[in-house]
Amino acid sequence: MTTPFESDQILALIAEGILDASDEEIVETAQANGVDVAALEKKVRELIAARVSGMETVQPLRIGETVALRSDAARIGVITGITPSNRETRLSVFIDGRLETLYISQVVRADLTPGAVRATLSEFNARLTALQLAEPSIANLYSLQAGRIDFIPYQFRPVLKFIRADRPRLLVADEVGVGKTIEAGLLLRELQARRPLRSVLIICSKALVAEEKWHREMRRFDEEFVTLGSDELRYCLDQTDLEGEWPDRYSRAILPFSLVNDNLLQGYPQRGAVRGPGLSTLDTPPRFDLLIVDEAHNARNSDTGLHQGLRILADEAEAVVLITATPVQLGTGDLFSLLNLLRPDLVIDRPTFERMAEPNETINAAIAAIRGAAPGWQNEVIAHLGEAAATDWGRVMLAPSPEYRNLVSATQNAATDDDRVRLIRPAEGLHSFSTMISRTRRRDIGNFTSRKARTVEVPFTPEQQSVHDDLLALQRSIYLRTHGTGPLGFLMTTIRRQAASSLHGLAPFLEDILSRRLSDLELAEIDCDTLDHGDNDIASVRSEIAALVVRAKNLSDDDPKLAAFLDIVVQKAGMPNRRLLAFSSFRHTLAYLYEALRSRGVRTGLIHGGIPDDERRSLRKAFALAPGNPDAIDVLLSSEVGSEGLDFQFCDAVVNFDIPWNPMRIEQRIGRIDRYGQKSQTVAIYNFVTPGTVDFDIFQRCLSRIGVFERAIGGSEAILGEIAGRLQAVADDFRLTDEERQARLQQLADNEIRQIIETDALEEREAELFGVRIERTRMDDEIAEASSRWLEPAAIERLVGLHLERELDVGRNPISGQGPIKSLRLSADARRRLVPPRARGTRLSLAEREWETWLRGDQQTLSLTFDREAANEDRSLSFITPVHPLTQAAARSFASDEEVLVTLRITDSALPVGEHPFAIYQWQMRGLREDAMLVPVVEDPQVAAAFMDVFTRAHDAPDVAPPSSSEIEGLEGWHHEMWTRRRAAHIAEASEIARFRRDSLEASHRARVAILEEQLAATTEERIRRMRTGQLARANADCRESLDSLTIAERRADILPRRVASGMLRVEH
Amino acid sequence: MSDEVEHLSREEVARLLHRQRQADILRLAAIAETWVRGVPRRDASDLLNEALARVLSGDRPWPVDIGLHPFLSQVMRSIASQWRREDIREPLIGDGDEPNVETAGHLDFDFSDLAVRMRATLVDDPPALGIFDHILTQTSRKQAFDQLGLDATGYDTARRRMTRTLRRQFKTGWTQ
Repeated sequence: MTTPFESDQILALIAEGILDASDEEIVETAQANGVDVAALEKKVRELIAARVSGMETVQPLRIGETVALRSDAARIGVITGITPSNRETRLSVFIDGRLETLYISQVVRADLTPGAVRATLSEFNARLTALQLAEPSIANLYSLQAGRIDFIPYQFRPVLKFIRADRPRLLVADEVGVGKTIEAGLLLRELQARRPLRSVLIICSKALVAEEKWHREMRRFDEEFVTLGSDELRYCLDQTDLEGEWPDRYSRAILPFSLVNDNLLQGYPQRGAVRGPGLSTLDTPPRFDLLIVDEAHNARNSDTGLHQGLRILADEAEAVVLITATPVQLGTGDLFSLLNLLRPDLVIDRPTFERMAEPNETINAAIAAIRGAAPGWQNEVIAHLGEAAATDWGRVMLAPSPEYRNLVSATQNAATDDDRVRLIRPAEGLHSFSTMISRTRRRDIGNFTSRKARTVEVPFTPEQQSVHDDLLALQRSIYLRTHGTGPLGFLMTTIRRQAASSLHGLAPFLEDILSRRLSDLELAEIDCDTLDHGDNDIASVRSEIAALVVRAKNLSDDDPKLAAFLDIVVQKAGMPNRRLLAFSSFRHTLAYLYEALRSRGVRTGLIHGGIPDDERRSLRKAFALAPGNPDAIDVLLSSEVGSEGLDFQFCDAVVNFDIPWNPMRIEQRIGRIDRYGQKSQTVAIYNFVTPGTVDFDIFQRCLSRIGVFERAIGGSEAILGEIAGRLQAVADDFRLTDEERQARLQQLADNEIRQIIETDALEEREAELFGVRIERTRMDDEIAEASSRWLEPAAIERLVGLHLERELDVGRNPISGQGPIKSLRLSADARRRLVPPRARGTRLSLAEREWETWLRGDQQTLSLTFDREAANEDRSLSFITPVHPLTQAAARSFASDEEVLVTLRITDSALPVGEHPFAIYQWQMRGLREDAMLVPVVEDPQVAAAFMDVFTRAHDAPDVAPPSSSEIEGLEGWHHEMWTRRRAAHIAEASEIARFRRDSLEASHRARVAILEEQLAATTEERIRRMRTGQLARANADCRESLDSLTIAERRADILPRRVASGMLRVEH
Repeated sequence: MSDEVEHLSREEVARLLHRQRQADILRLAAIAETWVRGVPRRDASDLLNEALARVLSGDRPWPVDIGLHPFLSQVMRSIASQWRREDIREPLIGDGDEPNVETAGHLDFDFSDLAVRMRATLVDDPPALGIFDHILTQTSRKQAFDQLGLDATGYDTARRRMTRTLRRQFKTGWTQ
């Protein structure tokens, strides 16, 4: 016997099985049991529909409306008559070519737009978001809200340039303090929104690798990079040789310049004389989807292994970003070298480069004339443009180009000021290198504050003076012994700088050196680029240094420098903004100050390169807190590396407890507070120096005169960086008397100042030459233009919410929370349903990994945000950006849907009252310039103008009838007209571009062939002859191939239209 | 999407129902078919209809965080068990005529037979069989752990295995 309870349990087990089964299993089982799946589905759907329609208030049917039979939705007819009855209303319906009488319960309103689904406004909006994510447009930026960063408009300049360029390759030549790494991160994000980025390689200096600068900045974009040492690099090369592909494990890698050498090129030496695989010997060199080279000017010399290695990597890579200190001052030769590395297809050789640069000067004159708007400016502009087009390069490239001709005719027709301003951008677009270089100068983005520098001179006590003198004597004797060569010299200078910084940090510092405890990171912090520990040489001076340690340890606690610092801390505590940011390059100085402040009850934090990221960020947060908060800190001690990547615009005073010799480092320190977002008009800079030290001379005679403490120095990192080296040469030269040294420093400063002035002038000229000028207001406009309402965080949130609802079959968005921080709560079962299917062996990005870990893990709740600021503030939040796997899944699912049908209502007295049928089409442009866009079609011009804004203010209107088939047909006709016009233009444009590219290809090819033939003719040696002949054949083949693919692309030009939504908008007053 | 309301509105329910795909619809049918077993004179569509009516009328509020199938399954379960009870009670009200005793006996036999066949399927898998018996005798999870010598993971794995085996063996006809 079974009890009722048992029978219930038995059925529950079966029901559980059915709930558990996969979709496929359900369908298969039904079929295996001989169920007519389609019939059953139809039956249940009808049952549901009947039940649901029972509760809906139904609009009465009208004559002329189309209806379908309830029993067969495919049979559609038109109502020709309605006979009310006290039993049930009868309809006359013209169906299948004859008139039939049907009861009203037998028909349903027909689906007019086949496949269209009724949608709410928010579903409709989500669909538009999905479409823009699935088919990115070059008119929109996807990276705007996609990094854990502060929003700084000018940092989007390179991105804008990048997406509009014909090839994803860019030279970012910004000045110090603009934020090149962030820009590179934005480029990465932007690229990622448009195509899958499987592999990314970043190449930078060893010091940046040790500081983990790139690692840290890339984490803002939820990307985790690994460092390649020589073992890993060797492994990667072996794997690439065996598998034909760069190993997934290293698909986000950072490589120091030092490893881009012969071993990378030719292969690592193995046992015997053989070498393993290298870049130049691999059958298929690794292909990176994105290659970023920081400080690319290091590779300007084409004879070096570094240049050659980069060339192979860049040739193979899909997208390339070279970042450099300004190439401008380095001379046009270096600019050529970098552009040639970047775009060997365009900047083929030096003569081509010169030819390309030729028209730029007159183009600039034209732009100046546009800006000047003097009477008769149109003629002047056209004359200048004509000159540009008459140059050698202009004849081939400019005159026939559609852009040029459009500009000329637009200039002729420009009637208003607005028209005139609109000409500037296309005019700048004519610069030969404008698509390849993005350059933002410090001065272009403006001065954020004025700097008030104060020098705090603190002499040594007699006791301190004597230790310092002994140190100098020791250094002099070592110098004379070693003739000033080798790493020991540098080490001694460093010791002396520590002494000038704080004698109380000297003893532990020396002990670190003796016990060889200094890490690469600490050396990088002290600005030792070579990262040479000088280990072998220390032995020779060990006993002398040990003696010095004893002296330093016995120093009394009397420290005037500390006292002066404490004075400032106290003063500052009385000011409205009591925060103080104090810098030292030396960890032991920082530790000494930290102890001193703590023991006096000052709320203090300490950050240097050795402090983990999370801790740094939480210290920053505590520093930002209002003073009344018990967790707030008032003084933050930091090394330059410690504060790298952190912004302190809420603090308005900096203390340089010691002065770095490299002006760049000083700028980095001050730049932490003198930056975008600083509210104070002025920032205070306190410079601590001790007379009688070499540091004092350097500060007095050189650094303070260059002006770094008064204003943001722009200019080249490379040149400024060199000062540090030259300063050291002067400081270490013990053959110099004090006077001679001071004279040298003075002279160095004079040279430097002259050079900076010259640079400014040169830059002014070069900016004219290369067209890299920027106007601040224009940037904001450009960003506004590139923003899309459907890509904003709120839109992403809506899409993701609806996607989850639909995917999990729940009736409400499982994401909750009022502020920017949300929580997503899902059962284990629901989480499992969201695990994305994936091919084996693909390496996941950080965001993907974290997302999947949560889906597969035990936690029910995930804290997340769609808000950039919240994500920046709290790194533990999952940041749902347009490229987040959840958003991508949502976009895929919604974009592939059928057309949606929506009915809306809006109250707006500016629009004509009535019902406006509308449709939205997606156009996919194919051919040479691929793009996608959403095109609204609506008849009334007033509504059309305001159309895309309407959706933020409209409301669902279920009582409004959707457009009838004839209205849809009308919209279709309108669309066809627009489409025909645009398509003709698109095809014409494509053939113009093709013709232009063909010309430029042929011109380039002719130049290349001419050079090769000349070289071939000049050579007598058979081996070289063979090589040149081969090159010539390859050049011809390359050219043919490029021309062929151009023809194919040209023929493909078309616009694929697809109606993605339609509906009715009722305007009320 | 506000936080306060814990149940779906009727419009939300309607929207959710409209979104179902083919497999979802079939799953719903199969669940109805399962729960209607042993209920005389009613079929799966009656049960589904009744369940939808109750849900759409708002009689059975739908908590927001429960998926469509688990929820409707519960609704159908309670309706079916109510129907079964009514069916057994009816003759008693109707003054002791004989007929429904047979139905009840038949029903009882059907379930006993089903239980026996289910046990037989699980005979090769002692932990799964153990769990099956535990469920039928309504002992606690903890007791099951102790008697079967399983930990939580072992229990869950064996339980999943059991459900899978039963699902494969006892497909309902779904032919209505």
